[in-house]
Amino acid sequence: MKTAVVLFVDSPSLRRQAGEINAMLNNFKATISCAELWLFYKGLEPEVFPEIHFTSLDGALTDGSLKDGSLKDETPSTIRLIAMEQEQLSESYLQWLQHLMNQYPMDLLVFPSNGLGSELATRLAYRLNGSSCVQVEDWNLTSKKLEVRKPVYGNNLTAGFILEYLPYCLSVAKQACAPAKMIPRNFVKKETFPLKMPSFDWAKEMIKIPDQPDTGLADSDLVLIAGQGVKSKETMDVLQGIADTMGAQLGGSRPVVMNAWINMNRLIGASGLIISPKLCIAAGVSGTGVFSMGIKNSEFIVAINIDSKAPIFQIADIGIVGDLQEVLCELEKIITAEKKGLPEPTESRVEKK
Amino acid sequence: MKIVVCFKPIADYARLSQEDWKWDENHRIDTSFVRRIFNCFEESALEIALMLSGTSEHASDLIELTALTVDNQQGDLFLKQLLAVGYHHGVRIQCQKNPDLRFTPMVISHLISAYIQKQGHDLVILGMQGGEGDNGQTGFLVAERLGWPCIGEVSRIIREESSDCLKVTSRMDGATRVQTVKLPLVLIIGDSLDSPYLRVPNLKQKLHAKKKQVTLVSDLELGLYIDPLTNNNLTDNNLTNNDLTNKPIPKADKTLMDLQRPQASQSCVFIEGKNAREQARHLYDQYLKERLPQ
Repeated sequence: MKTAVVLFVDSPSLRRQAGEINAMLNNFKATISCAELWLFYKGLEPEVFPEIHFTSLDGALTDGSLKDGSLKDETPSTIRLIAMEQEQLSESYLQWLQHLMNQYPMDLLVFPSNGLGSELATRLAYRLNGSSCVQVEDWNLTSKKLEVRKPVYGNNLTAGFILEYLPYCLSVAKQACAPAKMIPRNFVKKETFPLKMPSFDWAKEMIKIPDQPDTGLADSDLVLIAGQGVKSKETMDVLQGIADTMGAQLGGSRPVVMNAWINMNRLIGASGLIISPKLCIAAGVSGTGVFSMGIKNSEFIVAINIDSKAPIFQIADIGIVGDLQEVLCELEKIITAEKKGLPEPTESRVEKK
Repeated sequence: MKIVVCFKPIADYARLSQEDWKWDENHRIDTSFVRRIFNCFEESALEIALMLSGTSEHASDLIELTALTVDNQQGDLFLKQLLAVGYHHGVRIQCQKNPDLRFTPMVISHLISAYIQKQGHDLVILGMQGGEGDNGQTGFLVAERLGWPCIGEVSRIIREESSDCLKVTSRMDGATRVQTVKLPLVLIIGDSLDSPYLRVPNLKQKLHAKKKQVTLVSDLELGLYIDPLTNNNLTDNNLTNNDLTNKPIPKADKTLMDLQRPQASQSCVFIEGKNAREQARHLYDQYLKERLPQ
């Protein structure tokens, strides 16, 4: 299957996007006979490229199915660089991609997990009379057609689909992964396209405001997440203090972010960050499918919730049914005491009564 | 300016228990016993359009608002609510043979675009993802079908002095963009702190809306016919008479094979204790001590 991976060099999350695609390609047990990397860039030609890995099959069977003992780890044979003059609309990317597909037809195009990736996959497949699917979590080639899985019903279920027509244009699902390495790639075939920029009269002016710098939350080993159960900005501030004491990064579920109790770039879940820390403490989070997707790959999950039936306990290793603030404040006291080497705090007289 | 906002009410999944997630041989899931709600992106889309219409000062640039849903269940309560808060038209596209449209953004986008072509709207606003299928593709396909430009992950829409222009704030690949754009246009509402909730109608508005009628449109009236037996194949009855692009209508590009409920990976161990202090102590000693940085 002739495959191209499409990435954008100037994207602030390039390494993560390439990492997500690598994780998917690793799972793909099919013949990738020829793989290319199509890179869009602005300004100077990039000297380092994200490392893309895929598994290829030696002496492939004609139906593309897996033959044992002949798997090889490979990297793309060709990198095509597409130079862009200025800030782009998705319409211009589409025109270029159509042009590239004309010259170098592919069976499968893989796009990153962000909104742009999903938009391009969908619109390009429509224009080429192919099939598209976004947020693909898993894929498999059987009887010459591509089967994909994606989350449905608010991440409560997954659905499997057969894609009917070539070319297949897919965007991968966000997932916990190791960011791809950036490597110099002088030895592979590299081709640069100085394409003329199409202009569109519907878009007049554009101002671009880059995001706030990365919080480090996505790569943290220890994360405390606040859910709707915190109920107020004041409690949120208390939790920030506790997170600092523990050495944890603080994240929030959607309702917490929507109440502006925490910044948007700390949103955990399907539409925010997908994290996999060593220890994740979810406090006052009910655990909807959309949220759980954001933490389910954590090594160890502790959930604190007042409702013993909350779905968060279905993915937690340890559960505490109780008031999140009380439990966390007690936990903070213990950690502070341990740090200072103090003896165990004794129970207060009030509680003894 | 004629604006149409597309939405699809969904079951409140948070109210379904583990045992409720079961399906029949057609992969249909019974969620009729829980209330239906607006999807968050579509709720914002509906309110953003209302806010746009509130800003027009001259009769000449009045905004006509249509709320549109493709739904064979009674989405009419939702349409009535939208009529009460200021939508001029509430329209439900209903397909004759009750086909399964959950996972067919291609078919849904054809129905929506056919309606828009017929009515002559110049702005379409949709949510970025919703419905049972969480397809995340409908808006883009509507844009392709109509041949209109499209902006994704939109958070704010403001009117410009020129009546055919809008100032649109959106996100793309780690940055926020503010663009001045010309109609016609497809705008897809994404996630943002600016996302407004839908306003609630007052009693007077509710009573007033009672007199208004929801418009029902069938797939046949749109010149389209969806046959459930051929698994969502879309045939065009009337290709020569409609002014859509001459592209042949593609068949559904993917076919549903199965549904799966992800396994709850582990059984949770609950920490008992007579108070928070005991629970915290137990948690720390047994599980956290070794995992916290020293």
